[in-house]
Amino acid sequence: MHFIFSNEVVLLFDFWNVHSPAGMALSVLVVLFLAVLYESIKVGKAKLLHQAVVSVSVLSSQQLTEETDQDSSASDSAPVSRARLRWFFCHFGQSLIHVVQVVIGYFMMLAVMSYNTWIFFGVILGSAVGYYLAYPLLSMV
Amino acid sequence: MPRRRAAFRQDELSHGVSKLMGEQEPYQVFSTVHLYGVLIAGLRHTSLENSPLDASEVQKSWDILGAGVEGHIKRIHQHLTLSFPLSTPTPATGVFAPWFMSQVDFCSKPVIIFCRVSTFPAIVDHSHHTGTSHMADNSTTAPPHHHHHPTTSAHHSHGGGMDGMMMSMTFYFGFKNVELLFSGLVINTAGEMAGAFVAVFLLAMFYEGLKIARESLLRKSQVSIRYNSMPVPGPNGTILMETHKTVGQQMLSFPHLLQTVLHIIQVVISYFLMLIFMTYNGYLCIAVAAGAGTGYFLFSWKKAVVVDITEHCH
Repeated sequence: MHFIFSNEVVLLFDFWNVHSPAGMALSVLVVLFLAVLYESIKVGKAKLLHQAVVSVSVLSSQQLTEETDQDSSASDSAPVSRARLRWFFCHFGQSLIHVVQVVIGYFMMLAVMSYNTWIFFGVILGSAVGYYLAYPLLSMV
Repeated sequence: MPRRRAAFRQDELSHGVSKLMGEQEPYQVFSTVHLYGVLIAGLRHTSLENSPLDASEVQKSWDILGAGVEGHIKRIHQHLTLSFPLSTPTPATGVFAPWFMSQVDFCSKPVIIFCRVSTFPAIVDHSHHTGTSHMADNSTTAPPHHHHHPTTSAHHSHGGGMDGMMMSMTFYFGFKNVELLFSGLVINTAGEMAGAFVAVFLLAMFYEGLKIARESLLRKSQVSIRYNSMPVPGPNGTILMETHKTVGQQMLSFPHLLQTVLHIIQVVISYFLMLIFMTYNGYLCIAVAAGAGTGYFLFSWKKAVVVDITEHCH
């Protein structure tokens, strides 16, 4: 098994059958876009986690201050449960994003496994472009 | 005058071949043919001398054989029951029977040659068969009993739409003859596939949990080292607090060794998950993705809470 330069490849699915240079160029663009998406999902997940933590903690602290102002000892569970519910939804969304990230990562691995050099270049270039575009956003608030 | 017998038992040979194939077809060649039983038995009944077989007779026998050879594996693997008397089964070296035949001296008795033929040299007409991807391999031993096991062999074409390799290169949904990581683990029934689904799901969940556990262990051990302060007697009888701020771990400390062991386990499991995904089996891939998602959901919940606490306290 070795890398080959070829205009023919079958990528991932039965219907994704490439014969011509135009089809190959399109496939490389698709794989490139997939790699960019993968890198941006990684950054997006970290940012979402940060946002979720901040928002839920703000929410819970707000509710706690309200509670002390009102001086109500009963129904301690309601505001806490609201924060918890919100945290649950945030975390559930994050898990879905994690599944998408895992699946796209494996798809890229399988694309490289086709041993087609153009596809491999597409994956590498897409990872580079995705990292270049997405990681500065990580430090931005 | 020596009595010559033409292409040995021609009628029986063609009968057997047609029984194997079902109909006579023009010459078609297929990459490998796996035949048990009589392939060529040209023989000349000589009284005194042992002389090699006439080339024309061999060719005739080949023609008869090739006339009936089909490409589909089912028909090739039909059990060919011919009742030929067997005097000397000779294992052929699997190359070209005519060549072989020309080298063999035939004695007076009829000789049946069991051999597996790799290609039909004279009958060359490449045709791609679309139905099956299983082709017989060529080995050199002649089996004493008719036991055939279809195996795959490499095709000549690479790339393109035709898949001749052992592994599937596109996603499929199935549970027949799915090899999973090790040679003993083969899935053949739906129940076994369900069990494999659960096992792969749990493996992916365990992988996510292991990742998060390693992160939290690392943070814990670093925190404990970072705030390592001890009282030191200072001048004038006072006691000073000397705070050591070390980031990182010593090489032989227990936390680092534990991290290393867990790292090895994590690397191995990640490679196993990659190999499972590489089977291209739809059910197993879904199990990997779902297990990763569920593991992240269950274990990262706690991690997020821990992150919350540590972010706000320090």
